[in-house]
Amino acid sequence: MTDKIVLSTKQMKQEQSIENSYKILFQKTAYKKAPYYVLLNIENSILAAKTRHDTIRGTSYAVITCLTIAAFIPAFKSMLDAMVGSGFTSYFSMILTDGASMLGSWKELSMALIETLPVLSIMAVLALLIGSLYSMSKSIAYIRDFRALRTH
Amino acid sequence: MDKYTDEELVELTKTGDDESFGILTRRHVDHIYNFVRQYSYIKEDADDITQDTFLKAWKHIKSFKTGKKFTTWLFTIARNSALDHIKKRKAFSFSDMDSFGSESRTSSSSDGDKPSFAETLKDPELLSPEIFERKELSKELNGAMETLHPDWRAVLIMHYTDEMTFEEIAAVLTRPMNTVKSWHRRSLQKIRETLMLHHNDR
Repeated sequence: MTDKIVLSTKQMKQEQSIENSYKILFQKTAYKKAPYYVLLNIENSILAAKTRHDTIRGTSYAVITCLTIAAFIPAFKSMLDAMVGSGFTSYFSMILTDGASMLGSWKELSMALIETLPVLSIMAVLALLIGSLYSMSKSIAYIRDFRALRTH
Repeated sequence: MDKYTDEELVELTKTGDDESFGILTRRHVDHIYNFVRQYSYIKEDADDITQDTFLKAWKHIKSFKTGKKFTTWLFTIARNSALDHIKKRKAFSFSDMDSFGSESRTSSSSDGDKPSFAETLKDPELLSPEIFERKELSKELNGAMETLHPDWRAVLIMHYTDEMTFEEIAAVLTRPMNTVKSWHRRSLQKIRETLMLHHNDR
């Protein structure tokens, strides 16, 4: 039993020695370090790819901003027309002109205002407003990054 | 930043921190260059393949799964890029590649009492100390390595210079571990025979 343990320890040491000798062989003789320009080329190619990516994204967001602003104007006009057509503006103007007497029938007035509110038009206008603000902020962020990359 | 592990730096890169990827690049560029240089054996290709590897790694960093080892993933990209370059140059017959693994697939250690192919190969032998004293050892070793299949060279480089386990190497080469071990033993036998031949010729 003791002989077997001694043998396996000896065998392990021999295997370790073989492993080490080949490790020395490959690490000392076969190892090839990268020339200095390889790292430079990698950094430049990543910078170029990032610039390209930011340019495309920035341009896309700028286009979306322009389109949403352009769509906002007719959408807002349509919302105002819908408010006039449904009678919302009439009810609303009653509050401004004759507010004191309207307090007595505030429940009926509130219901009338809610019923005549052009919900879809308002949602469309809000969506375009939020969309244009979001795409504008993204576009500005990409332009800022692009400028930072250029000066870097 | 240098105290962070590779996997921590990858997570930082995913959040948009490019400096972290720069650190990863500087850490591994020599290992990857050495690996692709040995794999493709064409110096001009090694520069392009190394650059390609890190560019692909940067582009696909978000697909790196948390919990996996970064070096294994990076070496896989390097090996695939090197393979694409070799195929373009048509330097090797790829029908040979499948046959290298077949002897390991026909018998595995799970087949009852039958030993696996890797286990039937002779154990690697100790190198004679005189070999290390030769001035032209580097040239002789490079010559010996050049005669090996790219994947055999890859096993030696990843195991001895990058200190990867056979399990990690098998993951990079997408081969069973027994195949990788048999390639390891056979390539060491061949290297040793070539070096001893040069030694005996003197």
